[in-house]
Amino acid sequence: MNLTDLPFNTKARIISVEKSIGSIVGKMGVLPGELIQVIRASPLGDPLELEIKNYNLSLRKSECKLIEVEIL
Amino acid sequence: MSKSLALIGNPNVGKTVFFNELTGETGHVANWPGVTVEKKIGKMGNIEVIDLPGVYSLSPAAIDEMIARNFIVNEKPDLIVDILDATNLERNLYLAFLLKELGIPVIFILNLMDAAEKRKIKIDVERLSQLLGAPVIPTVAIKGKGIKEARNIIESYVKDNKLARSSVEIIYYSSELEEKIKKATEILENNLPKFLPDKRRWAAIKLIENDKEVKKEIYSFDGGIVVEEKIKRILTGTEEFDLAGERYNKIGEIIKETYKREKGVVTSSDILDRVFLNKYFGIPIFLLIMWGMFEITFRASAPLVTLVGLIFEEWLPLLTSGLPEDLWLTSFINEAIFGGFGAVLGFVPLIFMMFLVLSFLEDSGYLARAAFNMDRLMFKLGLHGRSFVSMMLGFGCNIPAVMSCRAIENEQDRLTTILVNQNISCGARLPVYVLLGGYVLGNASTGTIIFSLYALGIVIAILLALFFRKVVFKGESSPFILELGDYRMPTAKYTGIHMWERGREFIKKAGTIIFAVVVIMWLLQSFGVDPNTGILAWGVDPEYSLLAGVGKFFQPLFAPLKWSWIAAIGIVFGFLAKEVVVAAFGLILTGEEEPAGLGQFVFDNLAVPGAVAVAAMPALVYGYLVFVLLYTPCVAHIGAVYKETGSKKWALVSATYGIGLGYILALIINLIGGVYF
Repeated sequence: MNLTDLPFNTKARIISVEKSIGSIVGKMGVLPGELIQVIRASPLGDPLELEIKNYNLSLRKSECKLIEVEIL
Repeated sequence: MSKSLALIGNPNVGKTVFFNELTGETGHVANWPGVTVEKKIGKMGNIEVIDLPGVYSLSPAAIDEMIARNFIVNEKPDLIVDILDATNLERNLYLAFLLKELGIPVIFILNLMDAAEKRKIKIDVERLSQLLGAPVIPTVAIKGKGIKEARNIIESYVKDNKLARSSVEIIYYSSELEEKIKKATEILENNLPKFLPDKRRWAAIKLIENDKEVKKEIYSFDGGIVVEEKIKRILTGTEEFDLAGERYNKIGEIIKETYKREKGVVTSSDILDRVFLNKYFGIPIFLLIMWGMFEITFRASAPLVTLVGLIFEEWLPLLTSGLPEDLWLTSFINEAIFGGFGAVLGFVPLIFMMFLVLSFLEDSGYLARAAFNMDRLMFKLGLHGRSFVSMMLGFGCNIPAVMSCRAIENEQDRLTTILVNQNISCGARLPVYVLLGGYVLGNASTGTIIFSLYALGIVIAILLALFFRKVVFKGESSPFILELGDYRMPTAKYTGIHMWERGREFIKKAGTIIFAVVVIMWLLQSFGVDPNTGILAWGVDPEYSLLAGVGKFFQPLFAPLKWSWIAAIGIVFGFLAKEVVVAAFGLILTGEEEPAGLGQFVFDNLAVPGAVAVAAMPALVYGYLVFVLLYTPCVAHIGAVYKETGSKKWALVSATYGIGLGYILALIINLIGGVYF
């Protein structure tokens, strides 16, 4: 499943990140193997607020679709 | 030669506050007009301190990141101070690793220790320092805690050059990556021996990482492309992740040893986010805050605006009442200073209040939430959540707003945001609205009229953004990556400093260009061609002054709109800076005997005499205000657009499209409002 399919406040592990966004999200710590969860969506539905490495990051769904995760 | 020290860190770690504390606020923003906006320079003793824009890495995606990166790599400061956010140490250490990899002496400031404490985070500072191989100084910069220690350590390090050699420590990766790094280093050494010979390992790693800047740099050498090809051949394509992953693994080990965080701590930030980012309340609260921003700006500044008005219109003229009336000095003081310049200064409280509110929103961390709430809408319009922040800044002044677009990664997004920003009504246009807004639907609805102008500007910015993005700058939008850091209660001191830094530019502008324009306008007003003798003389009837001549020269352009030469003077001089529009009116008024006040005078003289029915005047006034909203903000803005786009074409487009748009809309409003019947 990708990150947009993940229910809110559910811990998951990143399996893979598509290469096209790798250089941009990688430095923010969004890397294969990391734990991640989705906190909430913006009131208009997009972007999503994520928690990773003990901080909160916001990414659009179009990017979240490129991040594969598995629920722990 | 004096020593230099650069401050670097992730965005929003309190870097600027630390800078101010370190330099004792002696620092100045190297800012517009004329100078670069990119860096702040201050002094700590005889050490030069440079505050760089916040970055997450040294592989720049946006222009502000590029500025910081190029400074660190090319200018080679004697010492780098990396400021770390104690609440978010893990991600912050990523940049720390990149700096160490670059082999430049670096020491660390662990800031926001108070916020970390609130989050029940415990950090073993001593161990962290051992593992990083450099001093780590805990601080709460905003309260001045730890600054003295930081200053002492920094001074001793700079003086003794302590770190020059010792901290250049190589970070080793897994054997697979090391193999590739070795090969890439050899390729560089054999093909481009002159390229960064002392940083070859670093350059090799960057090339493996597909770093665009280093690539650009090797292209300038013969054989650069060959090197790129050769390196590409040894890669499998996952190296970017592998390198980042391994860095984060090493960071993870450090974190495990030094960082303890109690689980399940709910902070006030989390609670605030539940409200401000709430599915149902998030947007209404956002709109309420926007509305409140204007309410506070106007209401809180109103008494001061009245007071300054009294000073220039009533009290100060008492001082000159003893001077002979026909003396040129009397005329200069009364008309140019009290009348013209005073009309500009009268709005200083209003503009400062606007800056204060903006600074408060920015410093509190709410603007990032606003971007989060609005990104979807902005995206639909072909813009970016960050475009929204630059638009917010435009309410203060369009020039820093245009410059803030540097944080937008995608070039199409950036150009679009730059070009539409001028429709966001800046503080300098506000005085004109205040002066004439009451003549559209009566005094009671001045606020509504002003609000409608701001709203119109936003709507036009949005429509133009759609146009630019769909027709001119086609292409994918850049990803929206935004950190939602903790809210911080802005301190009076720093919100004040922030407001002052912005307001100072306005005062500076008032003291220089605006004052100069007012003096020129006064001279033009004082001299005129006597209609009887045909000779240029001092103190002719205002009707025949050179200023009136300028107005009459340009008036035919506005004849289809039924605007008078007085209306034309406001527009012509407003091109230089919107602040002088009211000053121009003020000057013309002082030449007339008109007790009813400036607004009434301008209203009475805005239309070509006898050409417009009384009933149609509201439409004419509104059309005039719409034109003021939309046409070229000021000369400095054209310069800023040129500088930021690097293109004469876009500077010209920005300078002219508003004139056309404003003209057409004023015509339409005139038509609807019955000006032509």
